[in-house]
Order: sequence, then structure tokens, then C-alpha cells
Amino acid sequence: MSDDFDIENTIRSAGHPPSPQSRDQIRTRLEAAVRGESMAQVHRIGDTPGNGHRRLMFTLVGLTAAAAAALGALVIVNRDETVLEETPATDPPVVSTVPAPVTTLPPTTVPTTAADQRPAAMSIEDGSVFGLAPGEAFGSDDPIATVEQALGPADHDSGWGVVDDGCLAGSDARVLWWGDLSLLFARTEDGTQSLFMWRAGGGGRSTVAGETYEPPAGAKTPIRSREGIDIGTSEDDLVQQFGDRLLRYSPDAQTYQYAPDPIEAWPGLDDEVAPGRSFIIRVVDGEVAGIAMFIDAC
Amino acid sequence: MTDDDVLALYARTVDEVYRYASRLAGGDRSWADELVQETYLHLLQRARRGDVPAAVDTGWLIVSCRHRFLDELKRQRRRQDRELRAMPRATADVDAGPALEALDRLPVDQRTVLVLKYIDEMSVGEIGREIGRSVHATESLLARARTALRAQLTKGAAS
Repeated sequence: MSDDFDIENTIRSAGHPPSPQSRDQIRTRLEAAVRGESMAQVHRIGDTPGNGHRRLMFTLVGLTAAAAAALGALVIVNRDETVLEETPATDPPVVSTVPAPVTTLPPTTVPTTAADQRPAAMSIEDGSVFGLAPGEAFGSDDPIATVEQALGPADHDSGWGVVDDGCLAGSDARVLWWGDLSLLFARTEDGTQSLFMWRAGGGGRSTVAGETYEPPAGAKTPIRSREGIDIGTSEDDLVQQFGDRLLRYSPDAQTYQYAPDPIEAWPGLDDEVAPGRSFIIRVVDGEVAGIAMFIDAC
Repeated sequence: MTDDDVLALYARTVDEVYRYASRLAGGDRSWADELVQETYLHLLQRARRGDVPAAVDTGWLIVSCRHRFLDELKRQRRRQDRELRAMPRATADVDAGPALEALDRLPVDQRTVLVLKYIDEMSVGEIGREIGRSVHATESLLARARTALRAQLTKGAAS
């Protein structure tokens, strides 16, 4: 008996076209959006009694989780802790469970300007640093050598070591610091390396295999963003440039979650940066004080 | 692509896109409705930014629909929302037919891998990357899904 043949035909025969009611309802929503009604005003189809309750739950859960992610970033950039130490472990470490796409590192030369000689190695648009985004595995390239070529030897290199607790408990990790820029790499059992998190600004400290490092007070960020948003950029400039992609959780939180598309289209913001990643920009006293991109492993 | 183009595309493609969404959503029409709605709203957003390929077709929309579905699955999985999982499933309110009824009775992870395998014709490795599992784990899940689907069909035929 050919199971695959039977199963394939079974599944292919399973789908059905929309009912006339569904077809009209979706078209009505679409036309409302075309007329310029805010997406937030275009009520979701599921927001009705019955099935809609579950859909509403999805939305609420999404926003709650986004807020939690932001709080995680607060831990990172405000309370001088890292996800290694602070974030509760509820999921297995991503480094050992998520097969990440292999990326080829970009050229090591990065653009600079006469006014600011720091390499423009950080991207607000896609959350990468030196072309690396959290979750991407490396091919035959050596990402650390790439960064060192641009910035010189790291101020601190933890070397590879096992993390004792937190999200990455039991995983092989390595943290490198250049000023107040830190890159946290993770390594799976087969030797695949990936960037788990990067963070600029906000101080912080890291602990790997019992060794803790904290950058000296006043340490600077050795890179800038391609888009002109950096540590010290005014909140007004940030909002002016990326306002439609930022969610601020509360006036007191001083933390924005960044999404690559206009926010009104994305109720589940934290998932839309890229599945499993969070991109946080923290503002203190009207200026950008911390930028962090990390895997949602917890 | 103009707004009118999006509406015209909707009229031309919604049947096929909905058919795909309904396989993923099982008998939950509300979920299928929302997946399809979000797929076309996403297209509208991108079209207004001039950020769509020259030739958007049904295939492009189906991939977009799949992304919306998988994003939601990942949200659920990461948050391990027990209350959400414990909530009663929506009852199929369409004449689903035995195949969709059998698919609908499978856990959503099993239903997902079957659709990705047999509708999207993805390799096990590709499926694993989409759902965040290793190749080995994906193979196991796929094997369990096949067994479960066969059992559901057998049970349905016997009843």
C-alpha cells in the first residue's frame, strides 16, 4: 500500500473554497482598508462570539508577550544584567534546537563618514550587526575575525564556556565586548556557531563559566548604525524616522519594540521582526540609550 | 500595484488561497478566514509601499498565507499558553468532508507538517526550518502524522 499516495490525495482533497459569507466578509474588510480605514479599525473577522474568542486571545497573548520581551530588554539594557543571567528558562535554548540558515559574512570593509569614523556596522532596518542577525548560523566564515578586523581585538573575550543557568543553561556560549558593544555567540554540539544576541549601549555585564565581565564606566559604542540612529540620538529623531514601526509600551517604560513594517499591520509585533527575535530600543531622558537584538529563547 | 489591482487579485485568487488556508486551519473557518484576510491585508500594505514583486500570483499569496500561519504557531509554541491550548476547539461549520474532518482531528503540528509536505512539497529539511525542529524531529513528527491521519480515516470509515 502506498501511504504517501493516499495521504497526498487525502490532503489535497481536504481544502475547500470560502463560503459566500466568508468571501464577502473578507472582501468587505479589504475594501475598508482600501478606503483608508486604519487597520486597527478593520475589525478582525474572528472578533465575534464563539470562534472569535480564541482569535482575540491570540491578539492579547501577542501583546502580552511583546511587553514581556520588552521587559526582558529592560533587564538587558537597564538593570545591567544579561539574558544569560536573568531571563527565565521556559524553552530549550534556541542554539541547540533551531536549525538556522547559513549566512555568508559581508565584506569586512564598512562605510564611514568624515564626521564619524566609526564603522556603520549596525542596521536598524534588519537588526543586524556586521551583517549578522541573531539566529543565523555561520558557514565557513569566522564572524569574530570579521568583527576584530574592523574593531581590533576585543576588550574582553570570555572564550567558549558553558552557561550555568538562564535561557542558555548548558549551552556553549562566548561573549565578546568592544567598548559597550557586546556580541553573544552560541555553539551547538556539531560546532555550528550562531549569533544569539548583540547589544549596544546601556552597560551591562556578562557571565560565562563563572567569569563575569563588566565594561568600564563610560565605555563607548565603537560602531554606528547605517540609518543614523545611534546611542545618543534624540528620541524625536528616532520617532521621526521610525515612528510607524515602534511600539512604546508605556510612557514610563522608555522602551520601544521595533518592527520592520508599519505597526498597525502587525498585532504580534515581537514575532514580526523575524520569527523568534526581539529588537529593542531603549530611551532614557529623551535619548537612545540602548539597542539590542536577541533570540527569544525564553 | 494599485489598490484596485489588489481587489481584482483577491477576486481571482481567493478560492485557491482559501483552500490552502482551510487545510492548515482544519475545520476552523474563523481561523481560515483570518489567515486569508491577513494575507491580503499584508499584500495591500506592501503594495502601497511599492514592495511587491512584479507578478504577484497565487503561489506568492500561498507562501504569504503559510508565513502568517507559522508565525502564529510559533507564537503559541513559545508562549506555551496552556489556557489557549485547553480552550475548546472551534467546531467545523462547513461541510468539511471526511478528508478535512480527519485532518482537523490531528494536532495542529501534525496537520502542519502534512500540508507542508504534500501541498507545498517541501523537503523534510525545509519543513524543519519552517517549524523550528531538527530534521530528525521533523521526520518523527511526519511519521506520527501519517499514522494518525490513517487512523482517523479508518475510524471515520468505520463509523
